[in-house]
Amino acid sequence: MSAQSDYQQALKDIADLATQEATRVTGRPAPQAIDQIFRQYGGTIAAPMIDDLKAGSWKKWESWQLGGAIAYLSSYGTSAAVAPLRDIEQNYPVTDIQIQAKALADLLATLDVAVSEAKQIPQVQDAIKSGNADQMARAMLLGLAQIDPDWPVRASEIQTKLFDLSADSFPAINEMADGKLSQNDVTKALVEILFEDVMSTGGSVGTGGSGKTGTP
Amino acid sequence: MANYTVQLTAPAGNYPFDRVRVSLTSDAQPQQTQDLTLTPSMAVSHVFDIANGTWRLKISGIGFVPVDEQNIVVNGDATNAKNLTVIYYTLHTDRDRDGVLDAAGTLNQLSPQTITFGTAGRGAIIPVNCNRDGNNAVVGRTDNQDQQVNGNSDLIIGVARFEIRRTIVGPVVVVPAGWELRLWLDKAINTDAAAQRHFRIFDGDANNSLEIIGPETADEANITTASVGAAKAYGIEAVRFAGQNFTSGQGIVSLFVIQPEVTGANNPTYMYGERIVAARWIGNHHRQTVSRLYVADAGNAQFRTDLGNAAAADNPAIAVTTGAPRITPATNVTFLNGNAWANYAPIGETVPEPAGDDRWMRDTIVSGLSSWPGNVLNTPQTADVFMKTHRWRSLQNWVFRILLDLPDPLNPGVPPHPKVGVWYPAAGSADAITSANSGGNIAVTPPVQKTANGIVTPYRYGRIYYGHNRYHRVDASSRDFMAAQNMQTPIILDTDWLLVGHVDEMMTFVPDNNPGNAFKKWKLLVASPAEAYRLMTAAQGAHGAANVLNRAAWDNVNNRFDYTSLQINGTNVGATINALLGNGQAPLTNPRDHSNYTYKQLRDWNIGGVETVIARNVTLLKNAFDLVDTDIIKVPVIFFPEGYNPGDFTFADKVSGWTIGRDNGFNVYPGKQGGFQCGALTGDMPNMFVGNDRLMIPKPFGPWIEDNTNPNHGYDLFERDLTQKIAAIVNGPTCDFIDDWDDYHVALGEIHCGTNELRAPYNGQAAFGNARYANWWTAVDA
Repeated sequence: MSAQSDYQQALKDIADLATQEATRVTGRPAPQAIDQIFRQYGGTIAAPMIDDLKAGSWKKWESWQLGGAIAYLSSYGTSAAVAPLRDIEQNYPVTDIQIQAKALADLLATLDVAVSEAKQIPQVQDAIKSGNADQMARAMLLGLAQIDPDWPVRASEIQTKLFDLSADSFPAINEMADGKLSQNDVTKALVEILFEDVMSTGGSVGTGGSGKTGTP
Repeated sequence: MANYTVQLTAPAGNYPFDRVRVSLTSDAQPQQTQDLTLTPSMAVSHVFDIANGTWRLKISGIGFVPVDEQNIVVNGDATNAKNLTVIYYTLHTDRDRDGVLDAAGTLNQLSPQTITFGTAGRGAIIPVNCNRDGNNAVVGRTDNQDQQVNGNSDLIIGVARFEIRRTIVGPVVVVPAGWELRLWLDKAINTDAAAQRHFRIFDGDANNSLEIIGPETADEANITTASVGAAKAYGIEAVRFAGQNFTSGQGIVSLFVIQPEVTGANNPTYMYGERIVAARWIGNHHRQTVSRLYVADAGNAQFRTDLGNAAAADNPAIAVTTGAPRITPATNVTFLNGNAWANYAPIGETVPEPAGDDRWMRDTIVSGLSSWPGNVLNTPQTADVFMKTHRWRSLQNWVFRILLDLPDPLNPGVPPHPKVGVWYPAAGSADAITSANSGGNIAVTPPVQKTANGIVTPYRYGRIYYGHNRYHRVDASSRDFMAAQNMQTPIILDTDWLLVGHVDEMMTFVPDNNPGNAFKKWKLLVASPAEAYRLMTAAQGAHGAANVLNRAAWDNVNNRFDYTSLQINGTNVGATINALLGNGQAPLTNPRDHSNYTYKQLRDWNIGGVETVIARNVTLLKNAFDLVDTDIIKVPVIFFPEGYNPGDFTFADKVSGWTIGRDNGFNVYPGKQGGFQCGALTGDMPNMFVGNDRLMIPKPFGPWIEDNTNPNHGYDLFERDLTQKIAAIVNGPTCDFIDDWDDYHVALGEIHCGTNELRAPYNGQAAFGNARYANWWTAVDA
């Protein structure tokens, strides 16, 4: 299946869902249901979706459909989506959608520079050549950390809070364990508990799951 | 030179003017002027030292008829005595809200200084004329969407009055030709849109009187003194309720009087200004007597028969009107676009919406009313007014074409049903159309109060409550409208856990007349999966094989029950108590990935997840008003995952920290990212119609317990549980269970979603023991 045919199938799924919802109380699908449909096809349909938006398809979409598309693009959108999102921001006659489109366009607008800069980093280039998902993800994160000054700040905030929770928990754990655990053991377990769903995901698709499907 | 004495005598009487300017002019002589302060009935003189010759005497002053005497030949000392006349115009509104126009306010000030409420409240209340009294507005439009007074009933019910009055004190009886009057309508606060968008003033108070100030004309109008004569009344109506761009709900009507001889042409000389305020909308609650029930024709004949029987058996009996969305022609929805009425066309929607099946009467409109003091002494007027929700479906054709007052082929008669008003706050807005914008998601508590730190805050009209969180959000226009009424302070609940996302899916209030406390005359019914599983667990030993989610039909020939499994989305969902309490495969699939799940997953998620998110909503209510656990009746309902919210969850969103991961959605609280959104699996009993002494409850199709001691050879365990709990309310309502499964439940709704009603105003005077609570304008303090 090509990305285009996947995208068309997603649109058909959405139309079917809309038909199903038409006589129910809801009347229309919820944006997150549309997001869920798009996400079932992974990231590849982002390109045909953005092309579709560029062609003005959004002018005929109701807010629930466009809201779902924007939610999907918040994960898989590229800088190519900025132009149609700006168009939506300025011309789509629903306030909530305008706000969402602006927020995403502002975010994606920063991608162009960041991506081109990060791609110049040798470690990133090596990781891309390797094709190894873990290596690519790690190298690209470190690449972003190198070019985006806000990245280390936000990462540090998370670390600080993690360490704080670990440290605050440790005295009680230490007493329960009769000194058989180190604080590092606790921190490691804490990370595993908090991110177990992400860490148990098998593949490189999706943002987490039960380990069976990898879909979001 | 001569001493020329001008002697002026102001007329006897009370009037707010006392200054005139006396001017003497002559060719080739400097002008002589003198300002004089007058006292009624007393002569005041001024001696001018002027040259002999021919002079012109002018006397002018605010409110005084001018004197212009030419060719006065002065040849030595002389006296010119004048008896002055005062003629002035005043503005009169029903400032004290007794139905009668009041005395004029203070010259050159706004009266009252601020709009107030309570027993000494001041400021004329203007009705929002959103019905069709004359039935002569364009089809689909209300009386305040055209430029005329619509019939004699309109004059009584929907149009207030103010008056311009002329007062003459003194010998002159003719108003000077150059005097002009000007009416001006202004906004009360800067952030409001122009007041002419909110109020309309007519050129009189007769049928067919036309707009002179309002949306389609201007914010001011010149009035001739001749047209006023001694007095003239003007009709005034509100075009809308307070809300977005009209948060104050107020306006200012000013009468400017122009005396060109005093202030020059077109410049106001003095004014009287009156503050006015639009009547408020009040959402109905379940302590108000139902007078009429509405339900849509949707191929649901048996359901409507059952519902009609229950309504007829109620006390007082309730008349039923059937809506006909499937045959009502497409009807445009009108909104004020600039200074003209236009057809609202939300993006992506068919405009107008074609006729079709739309059975969701509750979700289309919100039951309420609006009252104002009326035009007769102590005779307030009350009108039923539905708030049209921001949805776009076929039933709106019936609302705007038929409900408003056109003959209805399904309900013949004149009038076919009570006249009601409709107000659509979001018409013309840029708000998204969502499921949250539904009447099922907008409800009102009975009267409640909140005690905090020893301070008691009464909510005598109850409090609106609606679900509004991350996934389900009520449109801003409707929220702003409800908030601006400042009567029923909204409580915000979280309905993200529901696919439909309506508050009626999880709770309702039923009347309880027993408590002495006027703010506790109710019980709160709350859906409870834990209660459902508790009941089944208790019954399992004796009735583990009892069928659940089946229709049980007694076979007289074989003396046994025939069971037919109910379906959801085309799947048989029938089970037994044992199955529901076991770990076998449940029939429906996971909305996340269409995989199967077990009854244990369903059960743990219901008890640990759904029950918790419902309890969180109850906590929100407890924070909002005095609510304790003994006020609550838990109603057994089992839910199932119907939708999925994609994305990552956090630790706090997990139902159990001990279970690894999200368990494909079952270990995440419903409504959270990475979790489900629910639908009712068993009939959602709280989603009932609360009548007068009768509750019309969706059949739950809970466990059917075979019992030959029972006249029906058995009973529904969930029905019996709720019936017994309601029966514990002394002289409480009667439970009437109605099968709505195929017509409503499978479409994610229940009886409440498919009905609506008119309710009589709550008798606040009787409820709270004080006459001030008879009307909202005296009941509230702000």
